[in-house]
Parts: sequence; structure tokens; C-alpha cells
Amino acid sequence: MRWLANNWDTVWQATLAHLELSLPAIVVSFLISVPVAWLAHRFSWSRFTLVTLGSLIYAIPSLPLLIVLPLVLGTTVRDQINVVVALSLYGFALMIRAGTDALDAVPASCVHAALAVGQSGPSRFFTVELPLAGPGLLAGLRVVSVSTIALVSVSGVLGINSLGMLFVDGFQRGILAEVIAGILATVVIALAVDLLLVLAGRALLPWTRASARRSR
Amino acid sequence: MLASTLVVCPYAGAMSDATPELSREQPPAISFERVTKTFPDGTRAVHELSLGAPAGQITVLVGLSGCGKTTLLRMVNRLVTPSSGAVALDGHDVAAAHAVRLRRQIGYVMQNAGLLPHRCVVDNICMVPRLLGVPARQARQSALALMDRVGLDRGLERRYPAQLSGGQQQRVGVARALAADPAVMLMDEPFGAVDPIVRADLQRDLLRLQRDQPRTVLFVTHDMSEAFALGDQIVLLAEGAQIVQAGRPSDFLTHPADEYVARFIGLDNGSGSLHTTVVDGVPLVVDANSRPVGRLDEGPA
Repeated sequence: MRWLANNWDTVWQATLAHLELSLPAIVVSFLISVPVAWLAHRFSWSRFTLVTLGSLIYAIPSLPLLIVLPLVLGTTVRDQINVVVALSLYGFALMIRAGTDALDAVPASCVHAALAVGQSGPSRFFTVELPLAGPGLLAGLRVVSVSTIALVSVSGVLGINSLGMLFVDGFQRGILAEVIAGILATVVIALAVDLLLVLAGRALLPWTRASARRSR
Repeated sequence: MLASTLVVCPYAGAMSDATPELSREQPPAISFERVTKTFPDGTRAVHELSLGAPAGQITVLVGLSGCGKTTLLRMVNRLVTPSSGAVALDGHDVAAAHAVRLRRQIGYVMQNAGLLPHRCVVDNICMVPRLLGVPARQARQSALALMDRVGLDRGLERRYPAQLSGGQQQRVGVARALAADPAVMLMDEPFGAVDPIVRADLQRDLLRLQRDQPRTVLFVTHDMSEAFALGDQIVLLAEGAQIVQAGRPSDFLTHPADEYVARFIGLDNGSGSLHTTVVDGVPLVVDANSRPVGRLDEGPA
């Protein structure tokens, strides 16, 4: 506790840095994976390729990726963009399968009903398919969010500031309190972001709670 | 013949568009001209069928499941395209119409209501008017008035479909189909999934709506008693959408076309024949098993 009291500012700065890396990555992976998931859902020939691509990306070890990516991006290893891109790739890899499944789970009768009343193309996707895929997309996004927040810590090894730095530093200097503080702070922000997602889901998908009440 | 000619109808000044402007005062007749539908897997759902549904009347397509009746219905609003032949509304080939605009002009009620689970009752009803650009407030007012007409309590307007009973969902389905005040209504086994008492209510309400404002209705069911209850015309279809018999409901009882028809409406085993008897001084109508089905009113019906 004394370590924490003395180093409160360090922990706070590390937490902010952690969020600065993870939040953009979560948003970017969601925004990229939804259209790709739509392709996989819509065209059966692309499904296998895209979903497999996701699994393959996820299989890349994170540390080598963080070192190789700058060669492609033209950034330095310690650049924030490097970390955000790497995290987005992993998020995308997780989200693509969840997104495809979520779109597949939209009842055909609803899509048919929208078609029959004369709702066409893009407006049908945005007003019918996307909201109805909402619960599945949210479930995927929650996994991506927790996984991304956990994964950011790896960048600490490269010397990029985040809560991961607290483990690396605490481990090297043998300060147990620092390691524990790092772990606890990571868990706290993962839970906090998850809670925000759940609340956002309640606000944006009110009918899912209505159905749950009815079926009880 | 009239359907095979492409007739371009003036549409609110947009001459390039062939979508017929369906008049509300004078609902159009629907005609099928030698339509055939073969699905990609080789199933022939409909073969060389010609059929007319008179304007402002309810035409019921009745037959066992898989006889192609739903396929026929879906040809009218172009959810299914015939492999050959044509479907026309008052002589205007629907194939020449703008599919999306056509669908917005035709009311469609489907099995299990087909409501959107993420929209509340009033938003489901407003779908077509909103697509047609009616302002939200005005669309809501009309939706509430429609809820009264189809027998839905206004207090349900903010409920989601999952919070309604089957019968209420079906009423919302009917209200949604009526929302843009269409001249043509397609109803695909709309009351199949509700219990018999609710079904009778829904049928009665449909007839009332039809009396207030006649529309050309094409109604699909597999239930002959529903066909008798609703149809101005009944078309009995066998597999491949072959017409077994078409005519007024009374024609089926007086002149069943063949054994199949007689069996389908229950004339062969006597369950379709009724006679009168007097019990405790009250004249009753009873069926073949002497079970009472109703009282015989004195005087002309």
C-alpha cells in the first residue's frame, strides 16, 4: 500500500497510457471487422477465407509482430501507432468470427419482412440486420475489449508506457507491490470498460431486455 | 394476354418509371397469365397457371402445404419472379414496375406476423409510411388510429413484439400492412399460428375492415373453413398450383368439381353436410354426428 501511495501518479499515468493504446484499437477493430463480417456472411465463397484469415492473424505471436510491423508501417518500434495497429489486428481476428456469427443469427423472417414491405439494400442493413445482430456483436466486442486491454501489457516489454510497464519494472527491480498494482489496475479498467459496453448495450438494444422479461 | 403486354403507366410525372400508381378508390384486379415457377433446384412450384382475383374482393388460395400457393402470392409483389408468364395489376405487368416502390404499395401480412423484434409496435406499424417519407409525428398519429381500427389498445404502442400475445402480434401485422392504405393486400396464412377463438376474432375484424373499405385481397390458407369464412372467391389448388376448382364458396358445396374437392371440404364423410332438428322447441342445425353447430334463425338470413 505504501508503494501505491508513493507512486500514485505513476500508476495513474500508466493507466491513462494503457487506455490510450487499447481504446483506439478496440474501436478500430470493431469498425473494420463489421464490414468484413458482412462480406463473410453475405458471400459464402468468402466466408472460409475471411474467417480463417482471422484465426491465422490471431496465431501470430505478439512480440515478433510488434517488432516486424514497423517495417511495414514505417514507424519506430516504440511508436503508439505500431502498438495500436498490432492490437487492432488481434481485435479484428477475434471480432470477425463473432461478427459473422452475429449476422448469420439474424432471423431470415425479419430480413424477409423488411424486403416485403419495400426496404431495400443499405437501409435494410443499417436499420434491420445491423441492430438485430447487435447482441452478438456486443458479445464479440466485450471479448475483444477485455482481450485487448490485457494484451496491451506486452508492449511494456518494449518500453512503451502502459500498465505493462509496472510488471516489467516491478519484476526487474523486485517490487512485488508494483507488479500487483499493475495487475489490479489492468483488471479494474478491463471491468470498467466492460461495464460501459454493457450499459451502452442496454441503451442501444432495449428490446433484448424486453424479450428476456417476457420469456422468464 | 393483357398481362403479356407491357403497359407503361404514367407515374406522378415520372415517365421513365413504370410503377403503376394504384388507385385507392378503384382497387386493381390481380391477374396471373400462364405463370410457371421452377426453382433452381428443379422443383416446379407452379405450372402454367392462369387466374384472376377480382378487384375489391377477397380471393382465397387454399391448398395443402407445398402446393405453391405462397409462391403465387409472392409473385404479386415480386418477392418471387415467375420463370415464365406474367402477373399484372389492372393490366400493368408487375415485372415492369419498380420492385421496391411496388412493395410499398402492396400490404403484406405474413405467417407469424413477421414483425421486427427491435422495433416497438408503433414503429413496426409506421414502417412503410416512414419509408415513403411521411413525417414521424404524422405517421405515429395514423398508426395510433390504425391500432384502434384493428382492435389494439393504444397503451401497447411502446411494447416490443416479444411482449405481445400471438393474436396481438398478428393485429400489428395487419395494421402494418394497412398503414400505407394499400389497394392490394397479400395475406400469407396470417392467422395460422393463433388459437381458434382469436382466429375467429381476427377473421371477423378483417371482414369488417374489408366492408369499410374494399381492397383486392389475396389470402393464402390451408384451412378450408377459413376459406369459407373469408372468401368472396375460393381457388382450391393441388400440388404444382394446379387449380382443382375455383368459384364462389357456395359453388364448392353445391357443385364440388370432383372427389378430391368433396373430400377436401368434408362432403364425402358427411362432416360437411348439416341438417336441422328441433330440441326443446328450438330449431338447431346439427352436423352428421348430431352435434349442434348453431341455431336456425327464423326468416330469411
